[in-house]
Amino acid sequence: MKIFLHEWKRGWKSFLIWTIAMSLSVFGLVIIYPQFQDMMAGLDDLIAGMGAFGAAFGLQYLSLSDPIAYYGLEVGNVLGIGGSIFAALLGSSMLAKEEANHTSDFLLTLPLTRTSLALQKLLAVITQIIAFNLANFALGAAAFAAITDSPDWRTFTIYHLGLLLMMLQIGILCYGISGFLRDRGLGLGIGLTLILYGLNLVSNLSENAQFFRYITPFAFAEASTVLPDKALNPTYLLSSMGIALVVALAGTWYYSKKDLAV
Amino acid sequence: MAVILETRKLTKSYGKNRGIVDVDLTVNGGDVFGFIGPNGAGKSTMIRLLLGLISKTSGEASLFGLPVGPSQTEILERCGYMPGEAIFYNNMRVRDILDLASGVRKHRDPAYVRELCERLQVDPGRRISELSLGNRKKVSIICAVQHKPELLFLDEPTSGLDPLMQQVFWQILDEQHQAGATIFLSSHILSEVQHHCTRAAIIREGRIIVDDQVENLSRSSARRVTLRGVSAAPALAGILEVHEQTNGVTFLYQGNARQLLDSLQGLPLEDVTITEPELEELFLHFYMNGGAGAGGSAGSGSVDGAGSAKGASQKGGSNT
Repeated sequence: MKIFLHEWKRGWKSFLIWTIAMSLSVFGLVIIYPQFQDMMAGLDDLIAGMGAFGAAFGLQYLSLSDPIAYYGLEVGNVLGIGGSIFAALLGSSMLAKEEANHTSDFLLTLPLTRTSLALQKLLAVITQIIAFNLANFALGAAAFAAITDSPDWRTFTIYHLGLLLMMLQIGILCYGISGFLRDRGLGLGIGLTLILYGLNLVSNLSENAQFFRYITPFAFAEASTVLPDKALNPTYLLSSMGIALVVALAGTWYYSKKDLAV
Repeated sequence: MAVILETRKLTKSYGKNRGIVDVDLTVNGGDVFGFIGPNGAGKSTMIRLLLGLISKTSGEASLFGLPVGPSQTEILERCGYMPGEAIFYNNMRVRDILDLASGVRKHRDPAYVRELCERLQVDPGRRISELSLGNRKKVSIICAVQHKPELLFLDEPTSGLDPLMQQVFWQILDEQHQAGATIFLSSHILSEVQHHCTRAAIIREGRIIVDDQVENLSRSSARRVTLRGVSAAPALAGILEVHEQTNGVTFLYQGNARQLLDSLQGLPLEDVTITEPELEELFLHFYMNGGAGAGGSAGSGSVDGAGSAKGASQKGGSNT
C-alpha cells in the first residue's frame, strides 16, 4: 500500500483546501436559511413562473420553504458541481501526472506491477472522495440540524449518498481516461464534468433526451428526484457507474501496457 | 560468470522513428559494462526497454534468465536504476522519497541509507524543490543502490556531480561491484568508461557497432603519433585524422610500425611520441567513419596484433 499512502501524502494539501472550502461553503449557505425562510414562499412562486429554466434544474418538484429542499438545491449546486470538479481533477491527473511530471522513471521502476500501482492510485482517488464527502456530510448535517426542528435524516443521508456516488463515478471515469493520457488531463476532466452536468439539464428539458440519464451521474443524484422519491434511481445509478467502471478497467489495462515517456 | 543480461535482435521503433535496431548484447555477472554513444543513439531506450518502461517492437531480452516483461516485478526487485534525469516530487522531502524507494522492496537497510546520506552529504530533511541538480542526482544514487541490487543501471550518472562527489560515487559503485553487483553504465564521458568499466559497447544510430573489453578497445591497432619539427604527416597508407599544430603535426596511424618508422627517416624531426589513443579518440573515429569502416580499419593492419580489435571489427561489419 506504499503507493496508496504516497498519493495521500502528495495530495493532502489540495485535499484539505478543497474539503475545507467546500464544507464551509455548504455550512455557510445552509446556516443562513432561517433568515430567508419567510422569503422562500415567494421564491417558489417565482420559480413556478420560470418555465423551462426551472424545469432544467427540476425546481418544479421542490418547495424552497421546505428546509431539506433548500438544502438539496443549495448543496446540489455548490457541493454537487464543486465536488464533481474536485473528483475530476483528482482522477484525471492520477495516472498521467507521472509522465507529465517526468517521475515515471522513478516510480515505475520500483518493483511493483503497473496494475498494482494503478489500482493503488485508484484506491487513493476513491478514499479521498469518500473522506471529502464525509467531511461535507458532517458539516452539512450540523448545519441542517441547526435549521430544522425534526430533520429527516434518512432522506438527508440518501441524498448525500447520491452525491458521494456521483463524485466517485466522475473520479473513477476520469481516472480511467487518465490511463490513456500523457499529460495531466485537468481540462479534459473539468470539461467532461460540465458536459455530464449539461446532459442532465438537457434530459430534464426534453423527453427525447432521456437516454442521457443512463450516462450522466447527475441524473441519479439530483435533489429534484432523490428528495421526493427518498431513493436513488437504481437504473441510472448502475448504468452510469457501469460506464465509469468499464472506462477505468480499459484505462488500467492500457496503462499497464503503454510505453511511458521520459 | 553467469549471463545476467542478454538481448537477441532487440528492436524498438517509435512509429517510423528508430529507437534501437537488432541489438545483440550479453553482460555477464560481475561486469562493469559501459554503454557508449552520443545523445539520441539509443542508450536510454535500451535501458528503459530492459526495465520495462517501454515495450520491445521485436527481439528478445532477458535479465537474470527471466524474460523482460512478464517477470518485471522480480527483475525490478533485483535491479537498481539511476535515470539520466533525477526528477522526483517537488513537494516531498528527501526522506519521503527514500522511504518510498526502500519501502516497496523486500531488502531494506536503513543503516546503509543513513550511511549513504552521510557520505554523499544529503540532508534527508530537505525538500526536493530546494535541491540543485547535483543534489537530486545524489538522491537518485541512494535510491538506486540502497537495496544493494544485483544489477545496477546507471544512465549518465555523473552529469551534474562535482568532482568530489564523483569520487564518492565511484567509491560506492566500486563497493557494490566488489560485493557482487553487475553494473550497466550508459555514458558519453569516455574517460569514465575507460577508467571504470571492464567491457564496453558503442551504439550508433540504434545499432551496436563495437562490443569488446575496454582494455582491448583501448589497445586497438591505432596509435596517436605526434611529430615535432615537421608540418606535414608522412605520405603513408593508414594515416587518419591529421591535425597540424604549432611546429608539428599529430595523426592516428593504423598500419605496420616498421613502415611508419621508415617513413620518418630523413625528416627534420625534433621529437616523436607514439601513444595509445584515448578511448574518446576511438569513439570519435567510429562515429566519424561509420561502424563498418571504423571497425574494419580498427581490426586490420594491427601494429601489435589484430586480435584486440577483432570483436570490434566483426560487430561493426555485421551491423552496418
